Amino acid sequence: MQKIYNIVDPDAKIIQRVVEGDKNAFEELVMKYQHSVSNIIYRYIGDYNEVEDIAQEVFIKVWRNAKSFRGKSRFSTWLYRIVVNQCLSYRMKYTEKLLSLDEMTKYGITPKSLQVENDFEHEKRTEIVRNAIDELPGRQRIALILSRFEGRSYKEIAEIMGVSLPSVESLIFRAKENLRKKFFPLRERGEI
Amino acid sequence: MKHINKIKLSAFLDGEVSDEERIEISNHLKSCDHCQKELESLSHVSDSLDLIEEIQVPPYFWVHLKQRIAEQESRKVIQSPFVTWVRRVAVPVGVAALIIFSLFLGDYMGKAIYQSRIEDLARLDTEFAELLCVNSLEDFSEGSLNNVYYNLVSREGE
Ligand SMILES: [Zn+2]
Repeated sequence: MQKIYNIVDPDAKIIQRVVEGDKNAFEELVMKYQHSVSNIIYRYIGDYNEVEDIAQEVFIKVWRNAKSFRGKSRFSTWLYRIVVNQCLSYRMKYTEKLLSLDEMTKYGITPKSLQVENDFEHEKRTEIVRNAIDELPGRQRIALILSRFEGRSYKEIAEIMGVSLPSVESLIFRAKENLRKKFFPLRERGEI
Repeated sequence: MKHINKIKLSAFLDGEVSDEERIEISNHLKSCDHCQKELESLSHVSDSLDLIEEIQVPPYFWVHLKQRIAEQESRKVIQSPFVTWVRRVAVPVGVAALIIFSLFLGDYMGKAIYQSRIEDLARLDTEFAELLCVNSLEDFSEGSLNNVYYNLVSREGE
């Protein structure tokens, strides 16, 4: 049985049905969270082609391990923790080091992804931001994505990542600080 | 005048400070150009992030997911008396034997493995070392003894 310890979890009933093997309940859960899960993965990995596979692995883990979810946190917190782990371990597998944005800026090289024929300013700026996010250390990146794009509170991010509230404040600040440093030369040149 | 801590300023921008702190910071900002500039610069960084577009869920996501789960489950369901015997008797006995064996070996091997693991970890950057800490907070980390036990028990119930 699921016990919810002093937490009002809007998903408590549905997860209980999933534990009992109810596939319709699982479908409901997937429908509710697929958009959010796909977007976190996309923002973290930066490659749309990888999103479906990783997102499916996340939900397969939910289906298989629903019984071991003990309701000590909200379901969404548990789910996002699985997403975070999946993202971090994906990056661990694929860490081929390309020339960093900093190095490109230093040598005046335009990143390959920016050499699009229709070189719209908007696309270019988006790529710059994309690359800068890609270069953030994993935990700073995850904390920033959960806060800025998913609108999670610092408190919930702390639970998802298993760290303290001050650590979250610091991770998010350091992420912004790193981005600011990367953006600065580009801003000087009016590229962003 | 003591300026506002940058971490607090960033949290303020995200609406993540207490009411008391919010009033205090707002008052300070009215009279401090330095902190005002700092806030603007941080908020420019935050605004730049809006350039990253939202994606739609890959088409047929649920259909593909359902297929994948069904495939995995059909592989699991193949049951013969031999498979049942393997699951109910051979696997638990094997696991038990393995545990006893590894207890003997553990003392010798453990130190060596632990040492090389530590060396491996040292080579990874902090990001990955930190990842291991995040992973350990999963209900059952993969391949843990708990997980093996959980799988055995849950198979019994099938
Ligand atoms: Zn000030």
